[in-house]
Amino acid sequence: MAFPIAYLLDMLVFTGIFGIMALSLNLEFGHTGLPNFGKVAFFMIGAYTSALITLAGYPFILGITGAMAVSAFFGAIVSLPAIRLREDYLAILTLAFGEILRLILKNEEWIAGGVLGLKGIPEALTTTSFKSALYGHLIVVYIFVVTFYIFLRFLEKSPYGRLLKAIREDELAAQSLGKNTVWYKAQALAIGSAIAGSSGGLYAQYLSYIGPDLFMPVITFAVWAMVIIGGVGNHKGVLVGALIYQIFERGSRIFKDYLQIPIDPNNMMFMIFGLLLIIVLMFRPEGLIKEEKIKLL
Amino acid sequence: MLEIVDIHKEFDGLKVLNGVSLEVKKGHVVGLIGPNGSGKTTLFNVIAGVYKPTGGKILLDGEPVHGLKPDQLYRKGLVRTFQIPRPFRNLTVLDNLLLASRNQRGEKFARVFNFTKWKMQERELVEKAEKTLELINLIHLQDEYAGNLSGGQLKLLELGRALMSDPKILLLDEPAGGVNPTLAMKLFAKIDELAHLKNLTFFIIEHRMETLLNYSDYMFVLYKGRVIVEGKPQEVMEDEKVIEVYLGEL
Repeated sequence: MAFPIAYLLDMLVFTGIFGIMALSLNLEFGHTGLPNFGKVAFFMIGAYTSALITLAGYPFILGITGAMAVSAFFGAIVSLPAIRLREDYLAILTLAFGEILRLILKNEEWIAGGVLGLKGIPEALTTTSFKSALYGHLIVVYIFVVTFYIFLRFLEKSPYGRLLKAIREDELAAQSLGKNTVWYKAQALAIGSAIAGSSGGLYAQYLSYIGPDLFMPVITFAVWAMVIIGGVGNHKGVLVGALIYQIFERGSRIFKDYLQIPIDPNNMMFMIFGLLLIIVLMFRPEGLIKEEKIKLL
Repeated sequence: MLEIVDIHKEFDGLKVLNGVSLEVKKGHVVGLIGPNGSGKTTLFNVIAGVYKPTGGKILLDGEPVHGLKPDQLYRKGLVRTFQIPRPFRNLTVLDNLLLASRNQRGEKFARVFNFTKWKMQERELVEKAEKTLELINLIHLQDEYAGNLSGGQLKLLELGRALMSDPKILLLDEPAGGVNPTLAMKLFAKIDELAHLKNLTFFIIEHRMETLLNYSDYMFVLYKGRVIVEGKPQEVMEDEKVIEVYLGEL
């Protein structure tokens, strides 16, 4: 296969995997107002759980199911103290949770290989060539993207979604209308974490290798950028945000080979993306595709 | 219906409520007046579960409810509005009202995907919400974002939300604040009608004493965290203490 097509397919697979993460953050932050800065933790939990299950010889679907269940469990556990906190403290707590978990996985070899990580993770589909493998990954990843998109649209267009948005808008007012906001916030974090966990599982099977250094906090910030640029509260928007992020990330990687600049070109993507974030926040703070008025089903 | 017994509330040593005791009878429209800083909104916040009282008891239909959270009180039939409206700004006016309805099937995660079950209820609730919007003169704005409403319209929206919740008792914090006088009179006439026809109970903070005078059955005057006068509206208005509180230092 010609190189550009493989590169494009690879980019689309990454867009799908991170698009799922962006969808999950959009449920938590865009719809419920929970600033989860530990997104990478649930992505990592999903990746490791799925890898351990599939490496033990179980099928991919069981790996993903396990990834979602374990991530949801941790999402619920983290939510217990976190959702009683003010939003800024919730952000700090979730950020710390991600880093602590990563350092535990890095230092405790008995859990999942420590710093060396896990190798030889089976792919979702058994294929005979590099080309068919890429198409296979693309299909598998986008089955999940479409499924989660439809699932989240269902939620959004139901009284449940309306209630989550009410919590985002004014939690005290929602409580005064009889809504148990703590319970709903815990649910949103658990569902969001389950979705993030599945993207971790897809990531692990795609790379066939995972290690703790693949789950740095920068992943969380990248997902936040996707949501902010694409459009907070709009599921289509955050998927577009994921695509834009991939285009900029890869574009800057290619571009830097042709540039001679007096700064470290490896950091160029962060600079360009930082600039893009500033421009979007200044001139279109609602994101490229703004939140739409919802008519229930 | 609602009994407040010797309620105290302190904030870092500052005593805001100093042993408030009062009773709101079922089906009555009861007014609470008092100058700025007398503790009216704090009392509402204590009754509605936003603040825990430092001391005292609150009984709803004889059952102690002090210390319960707002959502628990709502489930017991006690619903409040806010002095400064707290709308869900990025939701439509209609959605704001629908959110106030009780026992919505579609609000349970397990039932979201069985939408035939909640859709029928949703249709009924939309009809009810539209009737409520007609009542509060906001029907023409039902698809507008609540954040685009004026101050007076937001007050009406708060009232509409409270009415949608089928309450036993409504705590209204300045429901006519920012509403034009003609509509304010209509609102109070509606409150009076609801109270006496549907046996609803209203406990209202209001600055326009003249409106309360016409439409309330009983009044309490709060000053420096205590009830200083209570009685029929006309008696209260003519009380020397009340005149002094409003015109000068007691």
